[in-house]
Amino acid sequence: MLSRAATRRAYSTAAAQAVVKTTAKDTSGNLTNLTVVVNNAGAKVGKSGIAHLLSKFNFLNTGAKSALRFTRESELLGAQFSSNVTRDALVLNTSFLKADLPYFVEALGNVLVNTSFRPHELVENVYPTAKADYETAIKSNSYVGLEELHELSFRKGLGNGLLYDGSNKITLDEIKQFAQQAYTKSNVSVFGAGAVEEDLVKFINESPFAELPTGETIKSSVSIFKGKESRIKTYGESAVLVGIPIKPTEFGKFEVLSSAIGSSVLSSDISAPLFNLPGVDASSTVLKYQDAGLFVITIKGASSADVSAAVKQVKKIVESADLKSATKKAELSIALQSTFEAPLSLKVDATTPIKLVEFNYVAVGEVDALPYADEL
Amino acid sequence: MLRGSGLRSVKNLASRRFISTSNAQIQYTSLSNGVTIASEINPNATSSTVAAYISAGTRAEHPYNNGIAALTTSILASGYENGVLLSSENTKEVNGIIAQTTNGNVQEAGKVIAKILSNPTAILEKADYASAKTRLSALAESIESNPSSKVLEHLEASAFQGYSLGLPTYGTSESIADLQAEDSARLLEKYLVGSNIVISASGNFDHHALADAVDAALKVEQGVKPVTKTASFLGSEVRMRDDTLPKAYVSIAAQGESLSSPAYYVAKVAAAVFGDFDHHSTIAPYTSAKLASLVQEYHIVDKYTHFSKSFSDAGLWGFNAEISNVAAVDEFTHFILKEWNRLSISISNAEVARGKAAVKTALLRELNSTQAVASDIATKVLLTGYRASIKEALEKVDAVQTADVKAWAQASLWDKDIVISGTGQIEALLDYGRNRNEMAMMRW
Repeated sequence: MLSRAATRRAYSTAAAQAVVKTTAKDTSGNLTNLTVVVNNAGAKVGKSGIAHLLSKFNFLNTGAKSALRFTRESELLGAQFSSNVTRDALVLNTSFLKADLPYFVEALGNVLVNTSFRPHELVENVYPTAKADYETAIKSNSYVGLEELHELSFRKGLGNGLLYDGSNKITLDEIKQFAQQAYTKSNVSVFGAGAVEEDLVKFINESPFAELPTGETIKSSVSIFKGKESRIKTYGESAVLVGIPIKPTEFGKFEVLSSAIGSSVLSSDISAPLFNLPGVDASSTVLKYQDAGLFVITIKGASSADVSAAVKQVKKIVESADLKSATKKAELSIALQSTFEAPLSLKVDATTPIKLVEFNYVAVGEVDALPYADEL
Repeated sequence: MLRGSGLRSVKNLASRRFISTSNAQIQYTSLSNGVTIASEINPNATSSTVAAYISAGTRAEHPYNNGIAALTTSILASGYENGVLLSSENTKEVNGIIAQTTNGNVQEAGKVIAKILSNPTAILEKADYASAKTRLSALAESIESNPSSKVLEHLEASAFQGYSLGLPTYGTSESIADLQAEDSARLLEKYLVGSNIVISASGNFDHHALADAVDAALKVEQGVKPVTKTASFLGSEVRMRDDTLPKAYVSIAAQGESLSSPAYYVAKVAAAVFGDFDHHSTIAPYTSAKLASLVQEYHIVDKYTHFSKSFSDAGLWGFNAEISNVAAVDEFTHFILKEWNRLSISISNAEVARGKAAVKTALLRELNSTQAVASDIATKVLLTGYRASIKEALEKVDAVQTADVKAWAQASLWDKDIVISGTGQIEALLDYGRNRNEMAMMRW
């Protein structure tokens, strides 16, 4: 096992000579968080749901090690690992004691290069757990609304469902092929928080990461659609989502708006107008993707009458927002959202007031009692 | 805990002692009014947290003013000013006023915290007491409407019934309705005193500059830290059967270890030997613990977690589970309690080694944000008088032997009373006596 002198610390984002893009920072603690982000492999790519199924295959049997052996070995090391799908990327997280770095670099490399994709795993592990994820998620009407809002705003790509809903058939061969296209040197980035960069680079270069195919960076483009409305009648609480699809250059502007009217990041800022709507749970957020974003105001509550009354306030709240005095708040919000794997540096912009004219609108729940988009 | 040297002037810098520990990077400053300031500097932090904690919580309450500590703290700590976001953290034993800000703005956060502590009455008078009560009521109800958290809340209430530790953290909607501004004033008068306050901070900033900023603006009464009555554990059960819920939610616990107990880490390791299980994870069939392999084949449980929860003078050690196969609740509790028996008899070195590794990384993983670090420092200093460095904590976990786990289990688990809490479809949850009998076996 490795032991490192406490005096050696490094912070650098240089790609050095690693075979894949590697970022590392050493910390004084004893824990390493090693994250692999696979770009162009999120829900926005390929058949709807295929990325979610691939994410479930990660950490199962590989040519080098059975899933049983890897699970038990990492439990013996006290480690935790997970594989998640976002709209942009597949994210593989591992956290373990510093000395175990080479073991997990090797393991993550094997996941990307060597996964066996056994037919029985698809039936016994992947389908049932993907289904459980989906069924847990759709119990929330605001999740259903958010998925619908993405579809209205982007149609394809970012508009794809995040999770596999079981409606379209996806074969094992399709998943394998998707993995081959996704797991390439140009798509994969490694982030080591609590790792010495030169060691990490060395281990990566000696690991199966080196065998990743080169691949090409796919230039994706996004189409944005506005002025759409959808209403989903179902039981449970009522939720209304108002969304404005935005370009990456507008993130700073909408962060200011979000902070001014009540951001989910700053939920204890009780004087914000959205947090003072009676009887409902309301907040706003700026969902930031690589090629586009979505500014979302969510209003939900058990009483459709309260939700309805609150929704009718939204236009006034947005258009009367005091952007000038919210810039410092937005800077704090951005700092709180910034992580090592996804550092955020946005320039806040409070110059142009935002009108709520062209937006997308989703109502879920007791829709008979909820307003239409043109009634805002 | 460190104390000031007793010089009268609050503003006198010479009255403070600066003590820095070299490897943990925590720096302590004690002000002459008894307030401790502790910072952990983290050069990688993207934002900073400064927080003031007092030792109060439900332990400062009785059933008729239950919720007052959380209510008062939430009024004092909410909103936004000058780049500082205020929020509160309320537990059964401490209340925290938390200020989050950008690294460059930490001194402002320190000033905001000092201002709140120096003149809480003015804030309380200005505040909209009624809407704060509505908010707290909603929070209290959200605990009750989530079956898993409800089961845990009632587990503690039943285990420590008759003591303030058993009261719900945020009060109940009935008790909150009766609270008045005078109750807040009375609470602060007793608990907002120098020796009962710890200001903790974490992030990328200069400790001394923060300490100076706080010191210059802080004015609190000196006073003795109030003593709380020791809570005692009572074997008992609470059944809240509700067949409209989709699953059975069950928690069973024995008396655990307090924060300052010598067996604190042993109990943590014992809990980690059984660990967590989630039937809907791809690796569920491969999980190491024997219990997991027993339950997953027949799907008699969806999810369980083991915990060793510690308070200043008491603790709970047990599990929390959700079961959709509601007819199998009795099978599940049988298997889990029989596995607990094994801790006293036949637990293996490999199982303990796995538990130790899990506890070590869990300790490190918990401190994953500046807010978590600030909370941990303040809670430990307030409740036990000091905070062990991470290095010390890891060494203590490393020192745990299989024999220690066995000895602890024989003393604390074998044939001991338990507390049972359940909600949802718990028709198949056997009565107290049947489960209590499972805590021992007739053969050794």
